[in-house]
Amino acid sequence: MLDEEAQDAIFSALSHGARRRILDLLKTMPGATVNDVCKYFDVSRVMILKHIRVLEIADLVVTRKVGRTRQLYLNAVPLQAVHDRWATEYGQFWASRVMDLKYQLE
Amino acid sequence: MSELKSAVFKVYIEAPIQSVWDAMTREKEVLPHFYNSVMHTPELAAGSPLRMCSPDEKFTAVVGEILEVDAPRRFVHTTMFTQLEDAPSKVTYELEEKNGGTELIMLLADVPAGSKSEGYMMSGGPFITEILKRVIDTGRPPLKHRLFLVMIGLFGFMTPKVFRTENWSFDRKIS
Repeated sequence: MLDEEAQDAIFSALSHGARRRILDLLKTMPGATVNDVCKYFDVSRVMILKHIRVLEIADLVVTRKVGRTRQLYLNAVPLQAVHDRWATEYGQFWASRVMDLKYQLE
Repeated sequence: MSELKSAVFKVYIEAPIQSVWDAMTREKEVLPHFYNSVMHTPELAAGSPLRMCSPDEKFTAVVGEILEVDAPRRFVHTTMFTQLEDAPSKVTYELEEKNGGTELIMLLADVPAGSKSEGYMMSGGPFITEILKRVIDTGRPPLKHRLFLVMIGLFGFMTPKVFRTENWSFDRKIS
């Protein structure tokens, strides 16, 4: 179980649309650079770097240095930990069934 | 050549680095974080073949080759699912001491995009890191995973022939 401080970091990181979008981008482009991410936004590079920093503190983004470039990866482990906190054994099964129904119909 | 994908899984474990290393690299013992399989290798050293078998050694689901061993910080090996035709992927474990515990980063690389291997590897990532954390923190995997592991055991008799360990001797070349 993650401590409260770690969970606060996760939820505040997720509470901004731009940061959620960065996670979406990294999900489809693992190993993207800051420049790659900037192409998808109209805001300044400084702003993007700030968002990435917040995501890194929450461990939702992991940065790897390869030569002179920084590669960014989505780290799904904290989301799994958050999910585990409230998911119950059988609730999980039914929650996923109703979501399947929603995906199928929408 | 098809596109290769990579992914990173990072988890903090409140345990000494040596315990995490030992839990990860234990041979001939059931590894709950690796779907209750048992790791076999002639030697835990670069260049050695490696396979993950069922506890009775009858079935082998994963084979690979050890690329790097730098205890207790870095372990790199290739991995290939025996029932799939996909080329091997690379798994890197990096351990670092932090705040009295251990930070574990697992990197998956060279995973063939759109393949079944990709599905298996990507869903395996959080499973492996989470269970490893729980086993070390509490001594056993969480209930839902214990149920899942029991299910794998129960369906052993349905396992296809391709998994049979005799088909995957250490001499067999994987490419």
